[in-house]
Amino acid sequence: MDEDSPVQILKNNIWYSNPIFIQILGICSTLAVTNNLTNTVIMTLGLLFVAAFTNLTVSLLKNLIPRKVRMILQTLIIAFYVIIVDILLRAYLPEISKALGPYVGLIITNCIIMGRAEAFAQSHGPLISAWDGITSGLGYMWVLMLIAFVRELMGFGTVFGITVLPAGFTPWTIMVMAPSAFFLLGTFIWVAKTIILRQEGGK
Amino acid sequence: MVPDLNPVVLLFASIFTSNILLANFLGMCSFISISKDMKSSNGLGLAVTVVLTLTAMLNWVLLQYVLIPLDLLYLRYIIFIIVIAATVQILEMVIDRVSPALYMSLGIFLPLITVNCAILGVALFMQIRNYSFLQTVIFAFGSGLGWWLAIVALAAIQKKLVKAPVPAGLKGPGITLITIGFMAMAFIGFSGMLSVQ
Amino acid sequence: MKKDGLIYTVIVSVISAFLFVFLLSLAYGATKGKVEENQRLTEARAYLVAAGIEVSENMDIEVSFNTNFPNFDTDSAYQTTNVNGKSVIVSPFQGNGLWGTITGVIGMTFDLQRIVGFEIVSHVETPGLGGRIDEAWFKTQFKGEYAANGIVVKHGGSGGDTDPDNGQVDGITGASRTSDSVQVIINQQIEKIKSELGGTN
Repeated sequence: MDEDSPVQILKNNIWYSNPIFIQILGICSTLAVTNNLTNTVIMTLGLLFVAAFTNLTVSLLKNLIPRKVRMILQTLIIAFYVIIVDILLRAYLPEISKALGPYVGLIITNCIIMGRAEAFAQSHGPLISAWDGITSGLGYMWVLMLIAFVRELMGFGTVFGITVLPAGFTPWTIMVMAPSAFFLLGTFIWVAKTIILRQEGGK
Repeated sequence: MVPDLNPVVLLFASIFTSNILLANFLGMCSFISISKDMKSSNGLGLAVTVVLTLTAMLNWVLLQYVLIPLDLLYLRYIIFIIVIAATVQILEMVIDRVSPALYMSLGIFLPLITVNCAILGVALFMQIRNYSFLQTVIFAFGSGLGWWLAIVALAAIQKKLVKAPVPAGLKGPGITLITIGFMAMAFIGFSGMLSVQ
Repeated sequence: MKKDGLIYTVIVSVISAFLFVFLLSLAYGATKGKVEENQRLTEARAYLVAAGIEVSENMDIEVSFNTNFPNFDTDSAYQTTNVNGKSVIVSPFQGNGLWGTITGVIGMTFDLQRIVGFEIVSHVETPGLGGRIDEAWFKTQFKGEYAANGIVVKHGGSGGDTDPDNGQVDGITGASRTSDSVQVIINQQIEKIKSELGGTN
C-alpha cells in the first residue's frame, strides 16, 4: 500500500508509529494534566490544532524558507499557533485557561509538532501535511485520554467530573500523583509493544 | 504581587518535592534518549543547569523591563523561545572558542537543549508565579539541579537493568518509564521534610 | 535571488517575524476586551459567592453585584452587605500557596462565628493537584462552617467534610502543602477581619 495515502497515514499515526508509544515523543507537556479528563481533552485538542496548522503552514512555506533559519522559523510558526490557542482559551474558556496555567504554552516545546513538521510537512503537500498533523494529534489524544481515564477513575472515582464509582470506593491517592502517570504509560507501552511484536511475528 | 516564599523552601521544593521532571514531566524527550550512559547524563545535566539558570535570568529581565511595560505579555512565548535558542547558540560558540575540552563534555549537548521543555517551562512558571529576580534564580537553579540529579540516578539504574531479564515488550521505553515512576515516588517522600510557614 | 543567500535569509526572517507578530497583535486586540470582562466577572462572582448568594449559570452577575454591593469601597479591607436579612462581612484575601499567590474572597457572618462563603479568584498551584482548591467540592465545604476558633484543613480526608460544626474541611489529596497554605491564609484573614472590626467598633 502507498505509504503516503491518507488511510495509511491515519493507521501509522494512530497505531503503527504512534507518536507516544513508538516514538516516545512529546509526553512532557501533557502528562502533567492527565489526572483530569477535561484538562487532558483541552490540552490534546490544542495540540491537534497546533500540529495541523503548523504542518499546513510549514508545507505551504517550505519553498520560501531558507535552510539556515528553518528551525527558528518553524518554532516561530508553532509559537504563533500556540499563542492563538492561548488567547482563545483566555477569552472564551477562562475557567479552563485558569486550570491549565502555563501548560498551554508548553505545547510549543512538544516534540511531536516540530518532529512532524520536520519529518513530514517539509517534503509533502499542504493538505496531506495537515492531515498528518491531525492524525498525529489523534494518535496522541487517544493514548493520553486512556491514561487520564484510568487516573481520574481510580484517583477520584469520577469520569469527566461526574461520580461513577459507589460512595464506598476509597480513591487511590497514588493515581492523583505524578508517579502513576509513569507507571500507566510504561504499562501501556508494554501492552502495545507486545501486541505489535505478536502482529509482526504472525506475518 | 511577588509571592513571599522562603528561599530555602523554594530551592528544596524545586530540587526534590516538585522536581521539574518527576513531578512536572518537563524535559522528558532528551531525558529518555540520553539517560542510557552515565557520562552523557552528567554532561547534559550540567548543560541544562547552566542554560536554565542563564535563560531564566535573561527572560526575567526582558519580561519585567520590556514585555510588561509595553503590554506585550501575549508575545512572551515567542520571546522566551528566541532567547533560549539564541543563548544556546552563543554559549555553544563561546565554549567552542574558549575550551575544546569543555566543548567535548558540555558543548555537544547544547543543541539538544533548545527543544527541552524544562527550559521553557521554568520561564513560563516564573512568569505566571510572579517571582522576583532572586526567586527566579533560585527556582531555575534548583530545577536544573533536580533534573541533573534525576537523569544521573536514572542512568545508574539503567546500567543495572541491562542485565535484568525484562519481557520483550517492556524493553526500552516501557521499563524506563516504570523506573522513572519509582524514582518519582521516592522523591515524593521528601515532602514530609518541610512545612510552609 | 539566491535562496541560501544572506540577504534573502534576512528578508524572509524579518518579514515572517513581522507578519506573525502583526497577526498576533490583531488577535490579542480583538479579544482583549473579552478577557478583561472575564476577569471583572470572575471577581464580581467571587464576591457574590462569598456573600452566600446563589450564582446560577444565566444570571446577570454585574446587576446582582451592584444590587448587593451598592456601596462597594475599593479602599476598604472588607465590605458589608445584607443577604436574606443577615449582615455579611465580605473580604478579599491573598496569601502564599506552594508556588505563588492565591487570591480570593471570603464571607463571614457579622459575629464572625461562621463562614458564609469562600471563592478563589486566582492561583498558580499545580493543575490537578493543588489546583483543585478551585473545585466546587472543596470550596463549598467552607459554606456555613463554624470558624470562631479558625479553620483546620485536614490531611487524609477526601470528598469533602459535611459537618459544619467541627471547624474542619478536607484538604486536597496529594497536595498537603497547598492545603496547609489555604488553612494559614483563611485563619490569617479571619484574624485580620477581627482586628479591623475591633478598630471601627
